[in-house]
Amino acid sequence: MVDNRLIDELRQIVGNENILTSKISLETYSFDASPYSGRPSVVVFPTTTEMVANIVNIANKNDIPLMPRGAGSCLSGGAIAPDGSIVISLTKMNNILEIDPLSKIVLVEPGITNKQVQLAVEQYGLMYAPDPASQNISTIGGNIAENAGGIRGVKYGSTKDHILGLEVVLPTGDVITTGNIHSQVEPELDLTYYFCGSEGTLGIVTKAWLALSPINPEVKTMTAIFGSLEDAGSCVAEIIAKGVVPTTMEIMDNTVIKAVDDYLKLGFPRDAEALLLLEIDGFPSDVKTQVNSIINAFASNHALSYKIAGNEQERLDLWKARRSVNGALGKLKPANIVHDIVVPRDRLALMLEKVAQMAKKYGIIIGQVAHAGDGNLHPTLYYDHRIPEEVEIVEEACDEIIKETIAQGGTISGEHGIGIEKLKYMPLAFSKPTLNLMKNIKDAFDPKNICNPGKLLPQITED
Amino acid sequence: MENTEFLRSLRAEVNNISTAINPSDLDINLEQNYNPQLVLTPNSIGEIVSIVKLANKYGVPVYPIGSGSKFSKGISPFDEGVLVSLKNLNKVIEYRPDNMSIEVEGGLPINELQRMLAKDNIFFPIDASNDLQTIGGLIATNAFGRKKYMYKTTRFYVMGMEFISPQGEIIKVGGRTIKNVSSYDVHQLLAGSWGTLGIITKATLRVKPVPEKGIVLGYVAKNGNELLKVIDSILYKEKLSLASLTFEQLDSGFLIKLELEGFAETLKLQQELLQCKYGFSESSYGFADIDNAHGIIALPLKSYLKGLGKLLEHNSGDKDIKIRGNATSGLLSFNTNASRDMLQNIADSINTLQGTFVFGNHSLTEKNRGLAYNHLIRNIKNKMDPNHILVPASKVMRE
Repeated sequence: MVDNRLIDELRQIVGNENILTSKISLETYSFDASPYSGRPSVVVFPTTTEMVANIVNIANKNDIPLMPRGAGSCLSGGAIAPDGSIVISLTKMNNILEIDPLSKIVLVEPGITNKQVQLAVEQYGLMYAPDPASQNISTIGGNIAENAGGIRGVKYGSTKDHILGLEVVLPTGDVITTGNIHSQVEPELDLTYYFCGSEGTLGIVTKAWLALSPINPEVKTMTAIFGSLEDAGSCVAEIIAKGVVPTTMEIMDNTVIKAVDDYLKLGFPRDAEALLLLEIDGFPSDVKTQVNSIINAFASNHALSYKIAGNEQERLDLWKARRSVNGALGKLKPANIVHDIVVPRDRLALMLEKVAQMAKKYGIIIGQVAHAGDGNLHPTLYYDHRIPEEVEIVEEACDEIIKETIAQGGTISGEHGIGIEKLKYMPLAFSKPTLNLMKNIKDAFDPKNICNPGKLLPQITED
Repeated sequence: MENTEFLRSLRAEVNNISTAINPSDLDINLEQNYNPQLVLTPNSIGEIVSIVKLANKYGVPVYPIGSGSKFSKGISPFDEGVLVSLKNLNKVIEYRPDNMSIEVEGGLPINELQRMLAKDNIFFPIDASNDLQTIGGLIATNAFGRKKYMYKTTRFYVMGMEFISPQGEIIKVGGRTIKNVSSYDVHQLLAGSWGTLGIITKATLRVKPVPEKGIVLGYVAKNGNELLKVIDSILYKEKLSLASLTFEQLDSGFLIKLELEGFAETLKLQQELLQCKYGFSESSYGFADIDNAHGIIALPLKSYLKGLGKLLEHNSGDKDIKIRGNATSGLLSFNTNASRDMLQNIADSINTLQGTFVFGNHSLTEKNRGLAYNHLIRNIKNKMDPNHILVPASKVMRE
């Protein structure tokens, strides 16, 4: 329990201006972007690695749960403070420590936002490739904890593809440095990539070496409309098979197209079953080759029409439909739940169709937007949370969507993480020996289970 | 070992398990002082499970092996235990060209994988140094090839994995999708674990379409100074579709080779630029061999030129050193009988540049991650392998 004596010790470490204990302030730290909530005992804002280590030492000595927190934009409950916990907010550790444009590496503290990193490296013609939709607010520490993806993910991969090394305060209070900024020529176990996506359960990242990529000089954006999901799906497969890797490849289904058209009056055909939004980048000569390839794929897969943006305004117009999805669909019902399932790319069209059938079967509205290039679907189920029957039906539909995802050889989360939300699905996705092994490894990092407990790994029942 | 309890129990459990006394019976050439008592060649995952479970019961060390090409790099000499060759686990399990994924068994050699993918104009982007290296071995060592600059290392192409835990359980993690944040990436712990945390029986790999075009350009720099200048410009000033920049010292001058990969039209423009501005001309495949050398240096890219400059300085008095390098991977290598003093001098220079210098199989620039790191690695190992069965003579586990 966090008592006054401990509060004083924490105050000693971080200073009076870096600690919150009042009921109202704690209330604001009891949520993330998921529907869950928790009851933290205290929030501290360390400004150095040493402070973080000292705080963790106190938690460790007194068996108090702790939770590292960035912007709190987690969608699966990963940033919900355990009851009675110390919340370690990293938002005051938000400096860029070194930019090395020659090696294309930036060393940052975890509390800096993704956007701030982008802005800082832009002047060198470089970018940090992962660009989650939350990039304006979400922090690098949070991105690492959740292995955040992004709109450009098809081409550039997710956070773990761009991390070179980490400084981490372990749940025991020890500080370690992982990874390499040069080629590894000695045998060594690199823990960097195990921390990525570990949802704050293995330690607290206090520094990160990020790999940067050159900004490609030219971008081209286009949309195409299809009469069936199947045509759109095979178009996606054909584009990829031809060696074109778009930075973005978004697909919207008929429910979404109609809702967006009602909202924005863009003049989409009402019977359009799929809208594909693509963006490619590269040297100008690369872009030319890729555009030709894509237009051919549109034609051979029976696209009803297509548009290519000729300038920035036209580009924004093409993006407008995609960006308005939440606004347009939000008008239909007061509440919604969104999944982030992934299926192999060759099953994307089939999965979109299966979910559309489920919407019919359960008599509910499911809007489907998918990052087609990586097989990541966002079925959004709309309902009225004040009507218990609707809540029940939606829950049932969710379970069926997850089961179908696994049956299609997919995975239950591609972006949002397991957190609290998907704990119940873990035994469907992993065998008992696998879950046991994960638990054993967690014990090695966190023998007292104080680091963000209750997330990611379900309670394993004994037979 | 012929009559031990372990082998008797194994024979009772697994009919016809193939055994051999010498690794050379399996075309595996181990260096001196590597003396396994027995070599097993299981035919199925179930047989590996039996081997590992019985090894735990009888306390027999187990050393998984693929082609054996990197065995002594990661493992110290030993006299006790069995080699478990994955050579019979070499099937393709699931190939999905439209998903750009392929699931294969751990013992499949890289050249067989590439041959199969090539039919669909697809490739696995790790250019292994040896055709026979197995997929399991590439993953376990997190191997990278000449084109690391463009394609990074093996771990980035592993989407899913099945492995036998050190206690003999079949563990399945990850999947066949590019995006996947469902729980811990245990396969990322296994990648680069050098066999210490599990025996990789299957892996689902991300593969890529073959680039439209690849070209090789060559140029001979007259001396060290010119070499440094050209590398500096190519690496840091030009915008190129660069896959590798390698060089090797000739009797006079340095042969520099560039590999470009991408769309044909773009490469044509880049080739013209490199021809006009630097005098590069089209060249043949065949590149400086960086891996097989006494001395290997790895540097961060920003200090690569400084490191190379230092090495050239040390070299001025010793004509026998022929320096080779891969500037895009930050690597330098050379063969020499140089004195201890000279090696130490080189090591000191590399240390100040935050690089690593390995000579023979020994590191002369001791990178110490500290007690806490080593302790954590040990803890993970102990939790996964409480009986210390899997690769006990590993160089990865440090005290």
